[in-house]
Amino acid sequence: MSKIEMRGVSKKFMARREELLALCDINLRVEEGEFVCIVGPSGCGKSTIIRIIDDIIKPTAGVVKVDGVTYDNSLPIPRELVRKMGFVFQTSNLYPWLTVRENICLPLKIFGLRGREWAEYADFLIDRAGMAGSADQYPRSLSRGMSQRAGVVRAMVHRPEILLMDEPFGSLDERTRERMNVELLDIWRESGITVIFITHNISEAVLLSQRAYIMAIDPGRVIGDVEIRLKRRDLSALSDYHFVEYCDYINRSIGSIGLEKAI
Amino acid sequence: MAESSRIRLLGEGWFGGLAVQVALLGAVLALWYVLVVGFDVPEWQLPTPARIFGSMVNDFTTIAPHLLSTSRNVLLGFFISVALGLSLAIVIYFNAPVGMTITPFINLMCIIPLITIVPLLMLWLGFGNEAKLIAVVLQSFPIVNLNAFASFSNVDPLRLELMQSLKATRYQTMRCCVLPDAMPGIFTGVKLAAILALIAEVTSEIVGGNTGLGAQIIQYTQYMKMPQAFACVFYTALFGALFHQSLSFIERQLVKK
Ligand SMILES: Nc1ncnc2c1ncn2[C@@H]1O[C@H](COP(=O)(O)OP(=O)(O)OP(=O)(O)O)[C@@H](O)[C@H]1O
Ligand SMILES: [Mg+2]
Repeated sequence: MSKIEMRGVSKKFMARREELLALCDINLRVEEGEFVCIVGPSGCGKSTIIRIIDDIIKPTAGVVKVDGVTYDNSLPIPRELVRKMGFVFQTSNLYPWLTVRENICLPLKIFGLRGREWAEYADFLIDRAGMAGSADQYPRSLSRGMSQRAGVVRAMVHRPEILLMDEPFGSLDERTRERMNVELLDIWRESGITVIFITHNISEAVLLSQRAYIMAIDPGRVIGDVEIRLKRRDLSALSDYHFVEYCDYINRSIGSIGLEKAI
Repeated sequence: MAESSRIRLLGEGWFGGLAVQVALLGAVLALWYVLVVGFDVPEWQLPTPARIFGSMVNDFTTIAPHLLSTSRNVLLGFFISVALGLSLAIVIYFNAPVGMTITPFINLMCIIPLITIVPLLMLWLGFGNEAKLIAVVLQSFPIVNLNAFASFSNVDPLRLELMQSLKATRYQTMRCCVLPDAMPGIFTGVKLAAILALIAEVTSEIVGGNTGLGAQIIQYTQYMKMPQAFACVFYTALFGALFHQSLSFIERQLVKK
């Protein structure tokens, strides 16, 4: 049984009285403990997919299945599934009126997880992310990288089994992004968490994921997936011959669709 | 560094600001005094500040019950307005049909000077506190409601998405996201309501009855007791200023951004 499965999911938005088909017949599977990336050009519906999985928005058609439990347009997501998922936003999305620690612990408050062990786990994660020094400050004093870190910690504080990340490092500079990527891989290996990671950066996708779904636009759809087998997943992989080949392959897949449209 | 310290000397910061304000007030009072004495203005036209302060002290026991009555009505009416305006905004926020029905009326109440119906209220309810209290509430709750609802609607959708992602209940969403996000806007309405409440109360007192600072001002002017009339004006101003300052203080405690 797959950890996450989407079957025939499509999504229409109403924008200025016009129907916009943002997603068309999406099928994908993510196995337990897998690290999956979704790559595609801007506007192809990557955020829409991940928001449907997290039940932030409802699909127009199709079903989502997590741990064998189904939810869709009419069937609400069961309570126990909500706690299995953590969502990292494109911007850090911290509340400016809460301190960093209060922000991080907000999911605990909402889920009613009050015990000592939860607070201690939060402290452990804050420490692990190197944020102990800034935990009692307000978010406005944090750098972008630090804010984004806090966003990741907030998504993990209730020990989810699935981490949904919507271009979490897209707004960071190259060096910071690389460092965050490596740390994320460490966390993933340690915890065995299932990750869906969205990006439009192909080399980021190749470096991070075991499998990448490739998307195209108009309408937003999945045009294929690549299994990525790299010997090492760290910064040294960036100069690996296979790494370059994978990037090239994905680039060509996306590019060929673009050409098709041009003709 | 040098730049910022120079700016601070010019009255930034709490103490500097206060010093400048006190100096300015002193200058105005001094000018007032000089003009009245210099041009020999009769006291029934304009008393000197010294006479007014004298009356504020000497006639305090006479004025105090009226000051008390005015501030009681203003504060009570203000708290009712805030509670009513805010809870109505929450109801409207979660219930769009109700909102569409009553919002136009509340908008209308904001535009119409409700002072115009005070004589009617007094006709129905007499010159007691009830009519005044109703006038105060009618005049000040709509502005609380309007500002609160507008700020609820302007909450960053991404912040709401976090609540949605965690499947927070309505109550949790209100408590943890909407209310704190809207707090600055809510306070804009609350502070306006404080001003409107005082205006509505004093005006109602002027319209009828014989309690409250407004009524006293009318009586003292009729007897040409100008220092006493001005003393009442000063007490009204003092109360308004204190009220506003306390709200600003509470605002600074609650709004952390
Ligand atoms: N709430 C909405 N109402 C109307 N249209 C929407 C809405 N949300 C998204 N869309 C549209 O759906 C399409 C897909 O949007 P989505 O945000 O999922 O793309 P994306 O792949 O995440 O893009 P990006 O890389 O820019 O983040 C876009 O054309 C967008 O304009
Ligand atoms: Mg997106």
